[in-house]
Amino acid sequence: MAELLGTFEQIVLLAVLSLEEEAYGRAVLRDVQENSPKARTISAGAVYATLERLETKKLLASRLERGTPARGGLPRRFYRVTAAGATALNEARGALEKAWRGKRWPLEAMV
Amino acid sequence: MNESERINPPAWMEAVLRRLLSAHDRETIAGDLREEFHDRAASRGAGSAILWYLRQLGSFMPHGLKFFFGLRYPLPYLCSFTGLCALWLGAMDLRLHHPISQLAIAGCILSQALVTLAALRLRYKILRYLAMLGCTTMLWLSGTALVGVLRGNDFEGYILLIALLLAVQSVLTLVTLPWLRSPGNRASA
Repeated sequence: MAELLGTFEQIVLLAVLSLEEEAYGRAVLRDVQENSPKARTISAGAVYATLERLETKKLLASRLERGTPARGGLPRRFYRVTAAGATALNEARGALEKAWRGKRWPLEAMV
Repeated sequence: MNESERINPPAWMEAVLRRLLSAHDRETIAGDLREEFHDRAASRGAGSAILWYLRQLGSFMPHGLKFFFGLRYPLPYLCSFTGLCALWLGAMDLRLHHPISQLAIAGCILSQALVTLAALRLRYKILRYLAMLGCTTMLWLSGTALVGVLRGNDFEGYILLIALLLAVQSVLTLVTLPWLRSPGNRASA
């Protein structure tokens, strides 16, 4: 089995998945921040580094589109989850479900 | 809001940001942050937007430093040079019948250069770890040599040069090799 995805990688992949055709950098950043319990601590650097890493791992693919005047004409990079990305997400979820099977949740503090 | 009313991030901040980004994302990330800056400036004021932009800029620092130090191009040249120096030192040690310990030092320098070159080329974990482990020895060795040259009665310029280059090579190795990817990911690295 390939290396399992980290939690943050899963969050970013899921954000790209949910944004569908609108998944460009800023939208992903906003989505991740809005859906994270630690929104304030999530910086653009962390999200873009993860996007780059996922693209390097071929779990994401991207395409460039011409920028709007609001961006000073700077291009937008749109992302989509690849088949390998979907498989990795499935594996990560499957592994967690398997590990949690038979355990009560939420866990009680062990004293 | 029309184009003329829109407040842009300060030019120097955008310039710093571009410096921190790789060519792949330079334009797109700068555009994303500019877009977000406009929205924040319109809703919360320019001051708040500038603070937000500064924070984001800070978050790209580790990536930028990694990118900067990831420029491993000087490393092969340094390793080749120190390797050749070690060969020359070794040859001189043999010719002048120096103690075996000096020959061993030349051997260590040569081995370190070869292992680092191999780690850069082949990118196997074991080679990376060996090269990084060797760096600690090289740093100690170059430090000792530097102190020896500076305290000695005869100024040995070539030893000073080799020691300095060895120190730079070791530091570059330590900051570069951890970011190298394994052979499986080499195509995308």
